[in-house]
Amino acid sequence: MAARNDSPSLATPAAARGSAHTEEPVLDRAAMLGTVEQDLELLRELVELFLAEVPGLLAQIRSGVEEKHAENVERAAHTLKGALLNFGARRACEVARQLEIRGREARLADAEQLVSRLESEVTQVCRALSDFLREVVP
Amino acid sequence: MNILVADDDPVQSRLLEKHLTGRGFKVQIAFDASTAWEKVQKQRPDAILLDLLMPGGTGLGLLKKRNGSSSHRNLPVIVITAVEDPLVLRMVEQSGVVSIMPKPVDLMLLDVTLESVRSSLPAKPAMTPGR
Repeated sequence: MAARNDSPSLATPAAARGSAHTEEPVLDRAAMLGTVEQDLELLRELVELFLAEVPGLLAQIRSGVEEKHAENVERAAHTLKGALLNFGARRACEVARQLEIRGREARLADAEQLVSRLESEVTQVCRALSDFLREVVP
Repeated sequence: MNILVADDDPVQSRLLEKHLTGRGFKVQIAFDASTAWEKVQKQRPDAILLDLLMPGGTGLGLLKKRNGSSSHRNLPVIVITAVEDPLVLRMVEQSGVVSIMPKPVDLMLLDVTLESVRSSLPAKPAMTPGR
C-alpha cells in the first residue's frame, strides 16, 4: 500500500509551541472561526458539545486528583486540552496540559491548586463561548 | 471512500465528520479504541483518523493490532493527536502511519493527505448494472 509512509510528517503539537501567557485572551476568535471554516452553525454545534462535555471532564480530573488515580487525570486532562485547542483557548489549554503531565508522571500530591485554576480558566472559556455565540451566531 | 474517525472528544469527532462528509467521504465514528477496532474488523474502512489517548485502549494499541493482522496491516492511518511526548510520537512514527498531525488539525493539510491516501487505494471492482 503506497499510502503507508516510513517517514510520516511529525509536527510539534500546537500546545507545545510557546508557553501560556497571562495576557493572552481567553479565546482566539480568529482561530476558532478558522477551525470551523467560518461555518457559524457548526461552531454553535461544537460549542454546545463542548459545554456538555466539560463538566464531566472537570469532575473526572478533580476526582482523579482526590483519589490519586493518575491515569484518569492524564486522560481527562488530555481530552479537555484537545477540545480547548479547537477554540484557541490557550490559557486554559496550558493548565490542562500541566495536569496531563502531572497525571502521566503520577505527581498528584499538590495538584489540587492546578485543578482549581483549570476550573476557573475553563469557566471563563465557557462564558466567553456563550457570549461569542450570542454576538455572532444568528 | 470510507473513513473511521476514532476520537473520544465529541467536539473533534463532529468537526471531522462535518468536514469530511462535506467532501464526499463516508464517515464512521468510534469514541474509544475497542469500538474502533471492532469497526475496523466489521466495516472495513479505507482509512482511519486516529487519536492516541482514548478510553478502551490507546491508539498505539490499535496500531499494534493493525500491524499484527494480515487483513488490516495495510490500512492507512492518520494520527491526529494532542500528545506531545516525543517518545510516544516516535513509537507511532515507527509503527507505520501515513502522517502524524497535531491538534487543532489543519483541515487543508488533512484534505491533501487524504487525497494522497485515496489515490493510493486499489481500485474497487465496478458494480455491474442491473445485478
